[in-house]
Amino acid sequence: MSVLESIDLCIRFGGLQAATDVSIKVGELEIVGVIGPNGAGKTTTFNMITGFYTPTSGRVLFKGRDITELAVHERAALGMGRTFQNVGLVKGSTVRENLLTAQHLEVGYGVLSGMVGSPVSRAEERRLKERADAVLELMDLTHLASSKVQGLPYGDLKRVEIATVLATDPDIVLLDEPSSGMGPEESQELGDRLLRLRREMGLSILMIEHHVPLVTRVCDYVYCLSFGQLLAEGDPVAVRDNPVVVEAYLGVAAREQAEKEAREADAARAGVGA
Amino acid sequence: MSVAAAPRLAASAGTASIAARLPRLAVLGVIALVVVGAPFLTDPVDSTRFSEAIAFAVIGLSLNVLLGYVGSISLGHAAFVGVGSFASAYMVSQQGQPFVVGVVVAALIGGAQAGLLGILSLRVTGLYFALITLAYGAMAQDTLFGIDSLTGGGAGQEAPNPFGPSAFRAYYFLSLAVLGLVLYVDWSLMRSKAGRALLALRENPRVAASLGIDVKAFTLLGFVISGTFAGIGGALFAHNVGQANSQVYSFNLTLIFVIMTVVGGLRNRAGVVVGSALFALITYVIEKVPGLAGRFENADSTIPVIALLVFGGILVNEAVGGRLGQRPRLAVQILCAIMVLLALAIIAPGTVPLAETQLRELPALTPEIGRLVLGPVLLLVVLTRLPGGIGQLITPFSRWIGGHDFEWSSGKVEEVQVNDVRA
Repeated sequence: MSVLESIDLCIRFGGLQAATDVSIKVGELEIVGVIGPNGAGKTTTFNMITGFYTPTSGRVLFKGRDITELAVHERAALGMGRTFQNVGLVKGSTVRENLLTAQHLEVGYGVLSGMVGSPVSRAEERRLKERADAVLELMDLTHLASSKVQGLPYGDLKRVEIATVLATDPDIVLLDEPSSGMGPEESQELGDRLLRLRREMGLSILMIEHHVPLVTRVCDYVYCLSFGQLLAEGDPVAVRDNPVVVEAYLGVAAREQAEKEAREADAARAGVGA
Repeated sequence: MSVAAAPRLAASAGTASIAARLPRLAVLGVIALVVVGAPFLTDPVDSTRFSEAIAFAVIGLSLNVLLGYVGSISLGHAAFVGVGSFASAYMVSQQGQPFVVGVVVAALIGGAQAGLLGILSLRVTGLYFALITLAYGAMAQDTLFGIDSLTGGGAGQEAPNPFGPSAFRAYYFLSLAVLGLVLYVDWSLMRSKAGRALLALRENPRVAASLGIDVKAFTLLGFVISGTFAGIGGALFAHNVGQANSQVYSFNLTLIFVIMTVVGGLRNRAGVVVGSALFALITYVIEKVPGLAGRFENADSTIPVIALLVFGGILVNEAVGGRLGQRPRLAVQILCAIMVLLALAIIAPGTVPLAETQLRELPALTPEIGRLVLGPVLLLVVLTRLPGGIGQLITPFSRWIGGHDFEWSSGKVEEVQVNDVRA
């Protein structure tokens, strides 16, 4: 059974059809990539899946349950976490405080109990702090625990954001361009980390990503969106080399070039075969 | 280098000797002494002024929850406070209940009315919500507070001091205890799940929701907490004066509440308390400083005019984009020169050839106006120069007392937090 599935999602903003029949599937422990040129509707699709936008038509299923009508925080409670393109963190707080905030749903005391500082709430706060520190260690961020989020470099922020989402204890995370602002080395490291997180935490991942080497290395399956529609899907390498995808990114000339190369390669192979 | 670092480490680890802590404890002791000793160093009646400062501090903390934590504005806070005052006054003087019951009822009713307004804030936000709270405040004064059987009408509702009509000092310490309780709840709140949820949803409701925070529910919670504090503050305020009178809970009072909270420093507990107390005590100071009160009552209105000049000077400097530490533009220099001359003409008549009579014809002002004259000046300074308010100045000291190294910048508030109140 797939963890997450979107069925024919469509959304229209006034006269603009921003997404048409977007159907995406993420299986258990799968890492699925969403690629596509700017304005293709990738983040719009994320927003429909996580509940920020209500699709004009179509459904979203989470572990087989229809969640199309649920609010954002209700979806989070079911185990759906997400990051934001422009970094979704509480900037005035420290890194550790952000991870405490993220454990909102895990907190085992009531609002009133916290307001009077009951012994139960204090013990629980200690536990939350330990858990936050454990997640920070997992993401190699221990040295930043007491730093204010505001002022951290962009690459660090992206990692802190992933740590924050992990602290919500999700079953699936939707990452919106996790490698943006990272150099090749950092993004290599991010790839290793994502593979490790899947293994150790049993995560499924759906990610919007532009960095092709990262996508081909970690993704099991890739969808390509263009102008709000699915253009191609399948194995990452196959999607990358698909002439239609190349055209969407680079234009017609590039597509013709790619097709020519493909023909030549076929001819060469045929030649070898004969 | 390691040699130099060693004693520092020891100090921060909390194993420092008593001697190292002595200056910190001494400062704390002096503060405690001033707070506890103030009623004994002054006339017993003066304690009512200090009790009023405490009530203001509770009200400031109430607004801080709304402005600082939730990120919503209330321009009808005098009505919130008034409802608390009348509820408690009615319970005690008409129902014969003890003071404690009055305060609890004030807190409950205060929370309930704020909750209702909170529901509205989920649909209407920003400027329009501010307008609605403004209208609510104005309306409450004329309608809600005009119900004779509840509020005593124009004559006001009696709100007796629980310790007897002239037990001013005892009432001060009672107020102090209530303030301590409110501070503790506020402190616990912000260290708990609800406090973190509020901070997250103020800064970015989308992120908060994606972390599983029910933005609507916690916004409402913030309103209810703010209203509860306001109700308690209102009760303290009424029983201090001996009665609750609808004329007191005007828009002017709301304005002072909002200004004192912002000047105190949003999200800074100590700053809000000091800022609120400062605004409550401005009139007291004006009365106590020899000759100052006369200046106010006299038609020459020296202080308001000077304040107005300072206000204008800062305003002009900001308007033409000058910055502190930079040489102001020529236009500003000329304006400043004119203002200095005007100020001189007022302070030392005769130095500047200016018609005395014109100055004397300015409207007469009472000491109560001091808040509304100094308030906007301080507000302007805070908004342009000191985004963290008074709290920004207090934080380095409170951190130092807490055992950290003294560092001026530790209270600094980042620009992003100045853009408060969702519009």
